[in-house]
Amino acid sequence: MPRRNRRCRCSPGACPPPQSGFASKDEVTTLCDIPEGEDAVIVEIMAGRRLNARLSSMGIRPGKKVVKKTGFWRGPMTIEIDGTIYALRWGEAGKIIVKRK
Amino acid sequence: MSTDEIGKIKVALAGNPNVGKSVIFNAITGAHQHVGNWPGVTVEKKVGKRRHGEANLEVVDLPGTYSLTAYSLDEVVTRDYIINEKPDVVVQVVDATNLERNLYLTTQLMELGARVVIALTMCDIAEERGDSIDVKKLSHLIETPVVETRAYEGKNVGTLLDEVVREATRKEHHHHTVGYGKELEEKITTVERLLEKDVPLAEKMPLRWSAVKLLEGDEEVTKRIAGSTGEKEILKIQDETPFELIEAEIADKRYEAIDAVLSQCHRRGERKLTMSDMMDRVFTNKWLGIPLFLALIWAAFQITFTAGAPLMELIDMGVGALAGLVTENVPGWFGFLLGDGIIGGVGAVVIFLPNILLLFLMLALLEESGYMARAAFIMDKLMYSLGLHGKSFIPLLMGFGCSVPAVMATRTIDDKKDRFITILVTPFASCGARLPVYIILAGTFFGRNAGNIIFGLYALGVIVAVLSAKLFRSTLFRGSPAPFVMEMPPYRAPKPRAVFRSTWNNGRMYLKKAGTIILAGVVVVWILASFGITPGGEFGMVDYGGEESLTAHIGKFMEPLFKPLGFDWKIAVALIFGFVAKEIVIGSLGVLYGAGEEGLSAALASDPAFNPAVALGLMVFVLLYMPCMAVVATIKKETGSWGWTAFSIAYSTGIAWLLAFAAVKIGILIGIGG
Repeated sequence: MPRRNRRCRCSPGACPPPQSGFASKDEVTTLCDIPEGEDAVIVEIMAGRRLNARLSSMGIRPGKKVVKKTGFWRGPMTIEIDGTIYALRWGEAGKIIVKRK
Repeated sequence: MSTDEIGKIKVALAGNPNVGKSVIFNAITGAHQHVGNWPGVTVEKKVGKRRHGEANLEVVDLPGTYSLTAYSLDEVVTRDYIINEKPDVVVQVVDATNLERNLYLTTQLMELGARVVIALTMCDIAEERGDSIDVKKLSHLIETPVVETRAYEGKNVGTLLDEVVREATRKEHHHHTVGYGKELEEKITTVERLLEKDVPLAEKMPLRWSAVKLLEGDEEVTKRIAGSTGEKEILKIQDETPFELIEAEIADKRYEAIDAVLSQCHRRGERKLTMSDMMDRVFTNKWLGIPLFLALIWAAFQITFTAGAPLMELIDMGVGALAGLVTENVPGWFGFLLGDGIIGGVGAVVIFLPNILLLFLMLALLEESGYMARAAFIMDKLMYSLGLHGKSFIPLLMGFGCSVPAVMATRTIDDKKDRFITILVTPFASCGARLPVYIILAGTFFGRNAGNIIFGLYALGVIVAVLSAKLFRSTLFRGSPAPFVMEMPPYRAPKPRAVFRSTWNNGRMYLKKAGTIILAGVVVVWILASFGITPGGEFGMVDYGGEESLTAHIGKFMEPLFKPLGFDWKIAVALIFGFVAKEIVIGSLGVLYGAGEEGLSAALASDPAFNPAVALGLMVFVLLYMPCMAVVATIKKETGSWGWTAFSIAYSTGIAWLLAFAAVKIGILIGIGG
């Protein structure tokens, strides 16, 4: 299980900007940048204390496999973790760092 | 304890959202429920009773939560109840399809020192998915009773209650905890020791839980220790503690403990494509989602209004006949009060019951089928750009039916700012009661264009709501809408019983409103319209709503305010009456013109004070001015503040005046003011 990088200096919100193309394999990117239907593993969540705690209590946390289901361009998207579907905004998805297989 | 000493057992029902908690609650308590609010907050509190064997159970339904942090109102309500009221048993409803996440709440309930009994639901769905759960082993490993429950069929509810009674009457309680690792445990112990020093405080709060929360920097718990013996030292420890890291570490440890248990008794099947997945591919598709959403909403509204119409006519006729009968047979002023005032006035509101019931039926179907969460998802982007939240959409939509349930529906919005903005703008959605006003006025003065005018009014309502939301977001409630993270429950066929229960509960509340606040309102209006200074200079009964009545005096007193809009005293009176319910505007004009509702159209057309420009202004004013009495009362209840209620009244009436003024002037400019 990948551990949280405890010494990460990124402040919440200062995550990598959405890129034009999709990230290549094995690359660490955000949930925004993986295509629909693809899966990845959550590496870190940098959403600030409050949202981090909320996401973690909902089961959205580092180490989990996540599948991106559908997305509305730069609008909200649906993801699946452990068989449960969640919806979140583009902005929040940008704070969830994932690693593609 | 022997069985005859059991007596009363306090049971609290907890669990994640969407796990079927209300189904279990209904299965346990049946019809013996009472719905109210938690003290000081507008989170709904349901309490029910059940006799099980020798025991009298009092069951409290706690809000659905994922965790017990201080970040959300629901979570604070839940944990405060458990700490302060000390229920004998906490039944946690656990969704078998996502055990890991559900057990995360269990670890926290246990840390609070609660005696937990788990009601396992959705086992059939988990089975379909190919998961296998060894319930006995799970129960053994977490040393907590676990009962597989199928509440829809009423299955195993008895077994669940047996376990509840057994757990409540057991003498010893083994306190379960998750170990947080050497370093953290040392800190926890230090804080626990410090807490122990203040004996009265320590008796009230679960020590270990409080210590953990203090290390997480929980503000509520930190407030609680203010003034205690160990406060200074605890604050010093807090200063040295990186809360965010501790919070993450604690979450990790809890999940580790859960994983350790689940690895021994739970096997996740290969995930197959389910019906729900396939539906989601269509309903949340980026191309199909919005058109399907619009089609569904359109259909729901069509059914609400077309199917409701014949029923409404029936009630209308019944009310009319009853009022006539009473006025003829009950002598004196009391007959008029009863017939014209009470039956007519309350009847005007009861007429909308079919619409309201159908609207709630449609909403219950959308909710129970799991589509409502998708609707919020689809609308979030648009709502966000307007400074609102995806969940604000539902109340706005309901506002086209009736603003009362719409304002109540804002309860689903967690963030206070998002919620208040939604409450303030929802009344601008043109409710069903305003339609009769448009039909008469547009029909009389705009002939073939009436349809376009009415559509324009609905659009104006939406535009004002949207612009107001933007304005509030940039002034009164600065900041971004709260993050949108929402669980999408699986689609399922709505259960008739749940749908009817929800429809009826809402309809009942509407009727209750008609019987209380509206009843009081119409009596006041009737008195004002019936009494006045007679030509002889005495105070007494005068022509109902005529020139001598108190209402006319009020109308004339208010006239200068309405003069710039071209409204005379009769319109002013009608608008004042409209506060009781907006459709009363038409009824009042009917009385004041002495024409009844049928002849009103001709009477208005021949009145020189009226012209298309004034009619347009009046319609705009009726659309936007202060919400009716029932909505005002609901806003007060939901915001918990007279200040915001007054603001809502002042703001909407101010906007109404300005835009009605503009409408009249534009009307005169384009030559319809003559």
